Amino acid sequence: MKRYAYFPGCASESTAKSATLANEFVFGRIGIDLVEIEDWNCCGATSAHTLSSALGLALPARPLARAEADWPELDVVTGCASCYARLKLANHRVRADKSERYMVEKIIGKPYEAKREVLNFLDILSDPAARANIGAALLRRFKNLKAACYYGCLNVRPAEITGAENRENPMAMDEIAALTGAEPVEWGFKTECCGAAHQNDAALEARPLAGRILDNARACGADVILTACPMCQLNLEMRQGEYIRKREEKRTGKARFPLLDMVLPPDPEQAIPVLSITELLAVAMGAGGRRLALDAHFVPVGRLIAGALGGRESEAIL
Amino acid sequence: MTDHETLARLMADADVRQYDCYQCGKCSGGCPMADAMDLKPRGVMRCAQIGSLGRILNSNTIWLCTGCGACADRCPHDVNVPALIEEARYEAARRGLGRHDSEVLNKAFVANIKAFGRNHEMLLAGLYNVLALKPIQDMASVPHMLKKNLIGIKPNRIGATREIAELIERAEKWDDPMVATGRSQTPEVKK
Amino acid sequence: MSKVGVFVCHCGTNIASALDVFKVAEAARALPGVAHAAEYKYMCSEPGQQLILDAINEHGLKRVVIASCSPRMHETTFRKMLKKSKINEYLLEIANIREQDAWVHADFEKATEKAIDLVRMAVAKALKDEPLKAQTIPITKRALVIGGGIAGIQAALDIADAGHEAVLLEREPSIGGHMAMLDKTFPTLDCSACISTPKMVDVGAHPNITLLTSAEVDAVKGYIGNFTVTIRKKANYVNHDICTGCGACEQKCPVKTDSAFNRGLSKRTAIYKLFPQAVPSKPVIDAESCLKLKNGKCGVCEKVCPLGCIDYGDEDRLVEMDFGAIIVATGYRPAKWQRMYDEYGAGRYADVIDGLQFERLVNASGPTEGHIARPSDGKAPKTVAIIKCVGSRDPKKGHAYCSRACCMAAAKHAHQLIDKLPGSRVFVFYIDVRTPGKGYEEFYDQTRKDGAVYVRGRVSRIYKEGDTLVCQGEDTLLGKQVRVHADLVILETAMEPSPGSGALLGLLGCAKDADGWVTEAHPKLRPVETQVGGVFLAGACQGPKDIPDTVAQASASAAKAIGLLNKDEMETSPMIAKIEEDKCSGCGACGPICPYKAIALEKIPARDPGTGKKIERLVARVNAGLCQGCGACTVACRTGAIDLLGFRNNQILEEVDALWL
Repeated sequence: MKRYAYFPGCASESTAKSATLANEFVFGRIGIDLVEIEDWNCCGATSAHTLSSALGLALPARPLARAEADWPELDVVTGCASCYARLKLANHRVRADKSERYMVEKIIGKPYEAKREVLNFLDILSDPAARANIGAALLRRFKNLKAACYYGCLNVRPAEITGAENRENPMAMDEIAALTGAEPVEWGFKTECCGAAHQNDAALEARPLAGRILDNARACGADVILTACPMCQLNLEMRQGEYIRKREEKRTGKARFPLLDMVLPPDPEQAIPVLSITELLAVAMGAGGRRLALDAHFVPVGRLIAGALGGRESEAIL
Repeated sequence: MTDHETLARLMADADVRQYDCYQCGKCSGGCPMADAMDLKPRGVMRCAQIGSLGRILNSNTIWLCTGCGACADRCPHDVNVPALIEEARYEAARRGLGRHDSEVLNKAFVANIKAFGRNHEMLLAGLYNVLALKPIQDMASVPHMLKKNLIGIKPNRIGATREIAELIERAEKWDDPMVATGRSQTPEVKK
Repeated sequence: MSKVGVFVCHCGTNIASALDVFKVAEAARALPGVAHAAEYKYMCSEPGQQLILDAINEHGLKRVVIASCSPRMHETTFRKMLKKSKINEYLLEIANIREQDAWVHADFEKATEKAIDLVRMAVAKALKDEPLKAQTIPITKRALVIGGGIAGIQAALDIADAGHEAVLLEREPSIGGHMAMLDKTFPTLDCSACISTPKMVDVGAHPNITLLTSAEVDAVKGYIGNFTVTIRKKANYVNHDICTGCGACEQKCPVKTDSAFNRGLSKRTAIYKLFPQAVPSKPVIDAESCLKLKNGKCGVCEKVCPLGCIDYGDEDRLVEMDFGAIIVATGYRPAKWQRMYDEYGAGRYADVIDGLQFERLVNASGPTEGHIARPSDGKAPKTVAIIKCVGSRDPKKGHAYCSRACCMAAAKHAHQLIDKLPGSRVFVFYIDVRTPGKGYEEFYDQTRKDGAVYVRGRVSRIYKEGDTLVCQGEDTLLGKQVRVHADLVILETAMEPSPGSGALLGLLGCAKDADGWVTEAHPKLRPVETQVGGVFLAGACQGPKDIPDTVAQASASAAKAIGLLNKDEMETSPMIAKIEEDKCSGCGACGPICPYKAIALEKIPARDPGTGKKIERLVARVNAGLCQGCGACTVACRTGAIDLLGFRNNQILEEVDALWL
């Protein structure tokens, strides 16, 4: 059994519900034990560092210091690209610069040496032992499921912090997805920023980013987008209805009252389901739809999964 | 401090040398936010080269940059534009040039952490929509989220909220221009 | 005491602006042994030299110290000058107050002080200098040209036409190099094959040229005028002495493998001619893909060959040959952009090709017979994007240097596309357009007027959308992002030193720069010589170059080699190791130290110091022809029997004393 200190991130308690359920299921099945860091706090995400550079380092450093004290032999893992970026950066800076370490330790009031690594889910799922365990735990196989693997920018960049070799066309998630029978597609937006950071404060400017990602996935023949971050997940999924509506409005020249999106779900012909990579694995490992709360998705995923599993299997899951 | 000196300090803090840039445009070409920016990443570097700090600080660029790092990653001369943008953002805030919506969100975000230790998404979005006068933004998704229990009224409060609040105060003081100006002022520790 | 004259050069303002030359001359006047000191704007110029000669006569000078640039630059100039005087040319010292002083110090006072120190040291050594006399060695009247591209071809032809023997060495089965792959050449659009194949044929037919293809340099011994080179004739499994090049074998060979000549755009057989116009026009077997050589099965070529040329048992052969001069013409290779640019697809997109692949596509003798068909589906592209500086001007992912020929290659490719595909749209992404060559700017201008759209900006990334490749970048002149949906993308890639050229330079003892290009003896004044005497360079091995520059440089290089080969013998430097046989114990420590194998032990007659009987004893002897005067042996000698003439221990110590005592 492999153990990691686990930083769940705030989304795990709310919008990332189905991914969180899938994470628990998958890591349980493949013998990975995630030990939640005691009393962890928000890493500051994409906001805190824009106000204060010191805060941008201190917030993620606190839970890391806590993990270092409680579990000095464990690497830290997180399932969110934004948390990953902040934690990894704090770890890197504290290691690289003694004056930054001095500052961070003063602010958090704890010793912190950044002795262990910060990892993301793709890192630990790509570990050869984990890969073998995934293979052994699979009970179902997808057919004709073309998947666009979306890694998100912060899971790979900046390279000097993440150490990612290929920031334009990473393959880790593609390889994991392929284990389930899904067919990863060749597409161009694996690491293009989805703009999640500015969906509130600069909605007008940031929404086209997610739109371009959705468009390219469809143009490259994907049936589903797979994610490795709840922020990307929510951004690509929740605002799809709005994006499709706006695209239609532009095409037809007719406007619709925005709040009608509440009652009119996105056109299934135009919408593309978005799943976290762990959800895909969980389904392939036999988890039921209710257990995973698959109905919590904004873009319905039932038809997609039923089609890719076929026959009795799909009845069992839905 | 003159603009010239301030710019030199920002460049030093960001560890960016403006004359490394030869204006090829590979940064702006790949920037996902470029369409919305009034000064694209290459323009930021150009302004740094000609010493036009004001144009950088008044641009919407420093508030729209998502920090995705594509520009720096592809730059032939390894110019870290996002690092410069981050420093410029601090300087703009110091001068009261902050972009209203960004400041509303970021301050609400930190206030949220200060109160609960973690981010309460519903409260944050609600607070932002009210303060930024955007009542219907993303509201169409709320019924679904409430129905599926994706968001709730009850915040996730951690035990150490007091510790977190103090941490935030110490950090903000560290960056406060009255206490210290930027990272370059961090006390030297023997390496 | 010997009368020394000191002459301080201003080198225009190079030296005079960084230190006080007048003060240096004044200080020199006060030095013991100095009879005269003067300064002048350019000592190396005609009036400068005359000034020195006049001073020698007027003041009866016996030794000369010149404080100027590096001895690498003008020591020979001043030695030649002294030949016109009564002074032996080795009674000359150069104090390098330019490279080692004026150019590297910012403090005027301190630089002046250092110059005075350098002059004081030079004067001290000059007083101990002794007259030396140069010796002569014979010259082998044959040149080796390494590399059979257009540079090597031109150099070999020039040398052969001048009446000297030339051996042209090429590691591929045919000469021709990259030029043989090109379709047209800028800016005149001559057909590349039409102008290069006649030269190739001339090489094959020239009585003074020996052509060695599928051959490489294995070892190099000797020195200027007297090189011995071991050449490896690689096994090619076909006896070219009898083969007539009928082609029966190629037609029957069952193997299909990627054609490197067509840059992977077509297949070739395992027994193959590099291209139809190959010289020699005879096939070779590629052992890596031949079924017979890999697993013993097949043997079809042997069966169909009417003359019995096929020899599966062929092996590499080593041949030793003597040469007086060597020309390095190893050329370039296009950068492996796939390893540098993930953002351009790293080779995943079939329709992102490099410029050389496009040359094959547009070439009438290429895989598509000149029809521009994109590799993925064979369709003619309607929109084409050309991207420049791929691997060039990119210190992070590629090379810092500009590859010089790509701007014109891009203009040529754009022209060819517009010409061959009416109605197509061509976008050329550039950072700067550099066209400094005769007729170049005019050609670029015409291409622009013909409708090629030049977009100023480096493409940020290429991605696939449906059937098209989207080139996303900034139009920096507009300040707007652009996305060009292209059917075909051509990358104008950087030039890199040819693979293996580094090892060859090591064998020759030639220096290369940080990027791997051969270093010239002097970038401006000795551009076709290397730092090794008798080894010259031609073409892109020295740095990125287009065809006109390459050919010009090849002829220049040939002229240098011819100049050397025209002499029957040449002077060698007398500054070599000298052994005092009385002191030599014959221990032999010096021999293995010598990098030039110039020292051997010999028996000489002697008398036993005890009995007085006649005996023989061993002493070390230096071969004056081989010794390069490096001085390594002098340090190794335990008894202090070896001294380096011109740099004797006492001369050096005198210099050191002058500085510190």
